[in-house]
Amino acid sequence: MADLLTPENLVNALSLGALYALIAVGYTMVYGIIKLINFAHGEIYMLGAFWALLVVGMEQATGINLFVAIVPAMLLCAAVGMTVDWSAYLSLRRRLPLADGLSIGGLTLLGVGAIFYKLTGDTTHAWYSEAAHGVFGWSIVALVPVVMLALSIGEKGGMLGRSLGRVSSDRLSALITAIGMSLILQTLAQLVWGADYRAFPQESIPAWMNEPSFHLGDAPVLGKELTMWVVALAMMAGLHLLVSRTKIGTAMRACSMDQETAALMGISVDRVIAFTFLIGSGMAAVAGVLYSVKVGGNISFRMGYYPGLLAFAAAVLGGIGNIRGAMLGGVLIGFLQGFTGGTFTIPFLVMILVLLVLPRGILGEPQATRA
Amino acid sequence: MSEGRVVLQTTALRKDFGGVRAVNDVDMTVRAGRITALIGPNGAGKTTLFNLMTGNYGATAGTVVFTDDDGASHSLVGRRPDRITRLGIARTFQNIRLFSDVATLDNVKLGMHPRTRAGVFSALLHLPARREERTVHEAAYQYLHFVGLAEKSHELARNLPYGEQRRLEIARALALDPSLLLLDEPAAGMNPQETEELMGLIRRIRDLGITVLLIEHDMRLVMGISDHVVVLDHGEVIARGKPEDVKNDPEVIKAYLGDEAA
Repeated sequence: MADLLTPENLVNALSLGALYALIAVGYTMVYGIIKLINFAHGEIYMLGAFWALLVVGMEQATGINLFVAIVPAMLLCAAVGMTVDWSAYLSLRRRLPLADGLSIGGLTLLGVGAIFYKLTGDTTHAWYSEAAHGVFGWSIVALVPVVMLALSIGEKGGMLGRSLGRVSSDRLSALITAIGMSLILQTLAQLVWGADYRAFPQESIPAWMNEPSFHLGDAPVLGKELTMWVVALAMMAGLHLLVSRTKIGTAMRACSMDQETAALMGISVDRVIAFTFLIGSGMAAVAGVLYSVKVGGNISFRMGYYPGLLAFAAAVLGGIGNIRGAMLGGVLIGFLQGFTGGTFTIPFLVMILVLLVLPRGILGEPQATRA
Repeated sequence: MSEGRVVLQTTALRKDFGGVRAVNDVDMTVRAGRITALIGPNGAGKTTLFNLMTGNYGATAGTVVFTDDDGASHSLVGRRPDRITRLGIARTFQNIRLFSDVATLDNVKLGMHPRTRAGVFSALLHLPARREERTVHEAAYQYLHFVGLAEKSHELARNLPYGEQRRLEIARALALDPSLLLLDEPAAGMNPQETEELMGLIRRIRDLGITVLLIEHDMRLVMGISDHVVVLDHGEVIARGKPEDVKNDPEVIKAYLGDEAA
């Protein structure tokens, strides 16, 4: 046990904590307002790394500094996040006829995606890359809008929608749509960029990032690790200010308390929700870029899966819906993983144990009582 | 009382819930500077009518037209609640809907939200936001003072007694700077003393130049302060006019008090 408490592990734990905290706030902010677990959030994190990679050069270095590339990565991820909300979740919230189609579309995609994932997940198959880039791959991409359209035409989500009826609650439809969204983004990334692990070109990374900036005990803290900590801290502080001090932050808090009443205070709820996706996605993009630098590559269509899952666990551990809880949960999960040699078992085990005692998470408020 | 200009006009307004017609072809006029009361037995469709006016429900058929202080007319059907609020219509709820874990003063400040600016950069840089913050703070106090809750500014909304929560909701609605205020059963759960005070408060609101439309079951309040009464039963208007005329209308007595009273 004692040999786990090393300075090296502490450095790693701090970086993982920063990573999970940055992603977890995105989960928790969206949940706080629309009570939806946005499972596509891990894919936003993945896309952040890819957008930055495109800017600094995927095959050949463009000579652009990685820090410069973070900005377009954030903007693009914010756009993707808002698009996901607008295209998939908004119609569910508004109970548009499209909603049935989208939820069933999401379910269909879950199946299609799972089969496709199973078939192509093993990259050693020679036929894979040809198939993925070939007709087969693109036909699946084409299938997505066709299936959705087919299912959503008509008054109540089309033929299939009517025959299934409204079997699921709205929350469940939204959840399945979120999982579907996650698979769409993963599959699209795989089709466009393939399944190889990629890394940022060395030229784009400032030299000091790979040099020790100081030592923690006898463990060197590299510039890239320090950057993660500093950036994560700064973003958390900024988010705190945003939520507590600004007009849009006040609107966010009002919407998380009572959307309908917030609307009657003249607050445009849809705009607040879009803004929430924007902020969360931007932070996830930063996490995606910085963590890829830290591990020296590993940029692939699947990179968002485990960090997304662990960050979700962090948000739940801290009390889902509570921003400070997500920060705390992120650091805790990071430490649990960092000090146990990178296992997934211990963080999840601890999460389960904590939830047994505190079902709403560490900082989660007790079940609201209504008069 | 002179005929004020028309602030709100519904025409053939209709709302169906599945097979149930909650509001049936309601034509209703709310005139400026008056207190209009909407009365009727439980389930008559009064709150549904409110929800149609504030955009919480979409109408099945018919129109709602609101004329703002500048004389511009706006169709409210299909408009989102936040937009309708910004046009100048504020409301309170039958079952109080305050931000209950937030201080009294902050509830009122939330009502002033559309009129504040504090953007991302000014908050970070601590720039003119400070001055605005002070103005908002003082104005919020004024609203609390107006409804008689100035001493309770730092209490959490949920810790206030029922009657005071109702008045806080009115203060929050006033903070939206409305030209039309909708009150949904403001006297519900109040004792006679509190109701008496509330009547005074509603009169003072009208004297500010704000048009009031209220739903109420307390007949003493309705007869005491209304300039115009509209009676709804089974989603239809069965009578309208001055309080004393409506009070003696046999149709109203039958619908409202039951057959025995008629």
